[in-house]
Amino acid sequence: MSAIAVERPRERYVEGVKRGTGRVALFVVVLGSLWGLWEGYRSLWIHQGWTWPFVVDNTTMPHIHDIFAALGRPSQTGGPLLGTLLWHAALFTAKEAAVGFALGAVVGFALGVLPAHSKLAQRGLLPYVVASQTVPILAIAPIVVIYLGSLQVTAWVSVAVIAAYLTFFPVTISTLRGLTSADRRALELMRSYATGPWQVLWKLRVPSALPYIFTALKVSATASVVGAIIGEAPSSIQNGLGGEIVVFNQYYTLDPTKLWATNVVAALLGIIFFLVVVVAEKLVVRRAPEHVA
Amino acid sequence: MKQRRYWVRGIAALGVATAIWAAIGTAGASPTKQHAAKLTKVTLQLKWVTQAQFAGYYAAKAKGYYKQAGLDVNIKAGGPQIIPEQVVAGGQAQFGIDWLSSLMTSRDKGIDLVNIAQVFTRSGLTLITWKDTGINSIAKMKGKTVANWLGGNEYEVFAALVKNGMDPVTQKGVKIFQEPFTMDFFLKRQVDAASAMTYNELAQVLEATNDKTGKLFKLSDLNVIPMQKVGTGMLEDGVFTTGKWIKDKGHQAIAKKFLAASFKGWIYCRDHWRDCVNTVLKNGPALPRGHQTWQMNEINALIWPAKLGIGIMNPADYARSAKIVKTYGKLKKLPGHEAYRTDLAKAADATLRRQGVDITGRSWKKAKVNVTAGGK
Repeated sequence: MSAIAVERPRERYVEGVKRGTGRVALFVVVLGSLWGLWEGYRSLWIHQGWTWPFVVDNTTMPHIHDIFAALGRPSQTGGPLLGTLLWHAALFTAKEAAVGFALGAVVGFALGVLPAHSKLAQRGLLPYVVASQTVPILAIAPIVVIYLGSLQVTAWVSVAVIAAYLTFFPVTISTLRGLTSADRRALELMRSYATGPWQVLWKLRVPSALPYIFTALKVSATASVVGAIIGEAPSSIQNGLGGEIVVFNQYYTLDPTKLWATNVVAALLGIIFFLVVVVAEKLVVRRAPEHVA
Repeated sequence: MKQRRYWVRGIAALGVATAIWAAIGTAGASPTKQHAAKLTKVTLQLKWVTQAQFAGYYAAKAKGYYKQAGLDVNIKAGGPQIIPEQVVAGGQAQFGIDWLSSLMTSRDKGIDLVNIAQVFTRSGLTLITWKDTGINSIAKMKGKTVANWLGGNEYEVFAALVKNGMDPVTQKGVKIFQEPFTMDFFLKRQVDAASAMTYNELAQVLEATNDKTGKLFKLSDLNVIPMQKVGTGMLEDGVFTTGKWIKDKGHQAIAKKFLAASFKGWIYCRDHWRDCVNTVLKNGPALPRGHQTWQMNEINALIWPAKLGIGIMNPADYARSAKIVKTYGKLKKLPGHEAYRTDLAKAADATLRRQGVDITGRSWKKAKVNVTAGGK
């Protein structure tokens, strides 16, 4: 008895470590190959003097190690480290993106629930939901900023709304698809028990829609970061990653690594948002009854 | 019960995550505004992102000149998608900074804006060429490629080319290249001549390394042709507001105080320019120090000496600018004297003179700034 009790967790632990090392090894191998591809392409083009599709030099393709080294150098003589500066900028952008994501997810979900219950709403509403995404965000952003600005709303809230605009669409479409994917037999059973539509929604339709919704949330999580970065430009916000991108873009010829480093940080922020949703999904879907999830 | 919990948890998890972010953010970004309760709040919209081009306003704020005048000034940085004229006309800012030509173009479209102070008294726009090309005058640009940002920034250059017998509008006798925001294209010699502001693009070229020598490019490697010398220089950065806002007597009083404090900021930046660079860098922690030091010195050269006193429009310069904009901006009519007023700036200067402040900077001399590699 006791031997088994000790053995089992140990085996599981060893198994876990093995899987963990495998994943880390794969991650390192992929990262290493990407690094190698970049540096290989770079040195080949420079060595051969090839100019197609573009001239390769320190400006167009800085060394990867230079990009990462830039994070550890001061952002300006006597100033804070670039990494510190970008950390604070990323926090600011993260706030905008997180609020935008939450707003977009809620609105997106609500917009998906309505058409799922009424064909009329589906026909009336959906075309506009689709049309909203054909309008470029660059055209919407200044309008949002001017409108909310006239209401005396803090500037970063406008940015959150812009991020929400990029977030809600996938959620709406997937919610609608998910809600209508509930098992017909289950629906009929619920109806035979005379269950109200509200209960059918929460006990049957939403659980069966969860996998769809989470797929959409994963797409939206990264989109909300992009929306926040784009939204900062017309909002006069200089504290976020978008503001830094404008500045580093201007000085690109002088120091291209700073812009690349900012891009790396922006990408990391997007990945973190993605991972947060993945963790939330794990928590929710594991709890969900198997037959609906 | 158990069936409910799974999604409640999920939403709670996401909710908590967002709440944490929001809390982190608001904790960091909520400056106490209580002591500013009695101050009049106004907003200034800049033409571009924080840089020494706007040092005077940042100095006025940092040195407390605005506060002493009873103002709480919110300085809003500009950017690629921000048009100061629209922000001010839309009421999101009371004051804006932009080139006089942009103001004239906006007015021609029926937007009621008025220049209340012309801070820069001369043009900072130049055309630069590589010395070894031998193109050392506008006339020698015949048949060559000339770069400019266009979109309203081209009037001075176009006027200069026309003066020398070329037609840039239909590209007869000269080829026009749309200039990007970095100087890489010029360093790679993709054009014969490029537009460069003394305080920005010119420095960007000098801060770059010459691959052949391994050293920085020098001024002696370049021909620098200022539009001011060609005779087609136009007035650039000035302060404007809307005609409707400034009609109010109370608003005029605010404007006078705002201008006096801003001018005082510029005067501080003239006399303590290195300190002003620090103020700018504090407001823009991502900006390269060497580049901003160069910029501060060159910006001072566009303001000082100010013969009429800082901020006062020179009618002759105004008339020349108006004529050029009318022609190349295709305006319906020549901008007249209704587009600017000097009474507020004169009142501000009078206030400063009474305080014993030098408002003309007659003895000001440009400093010598050594460029740094990469502008660092």
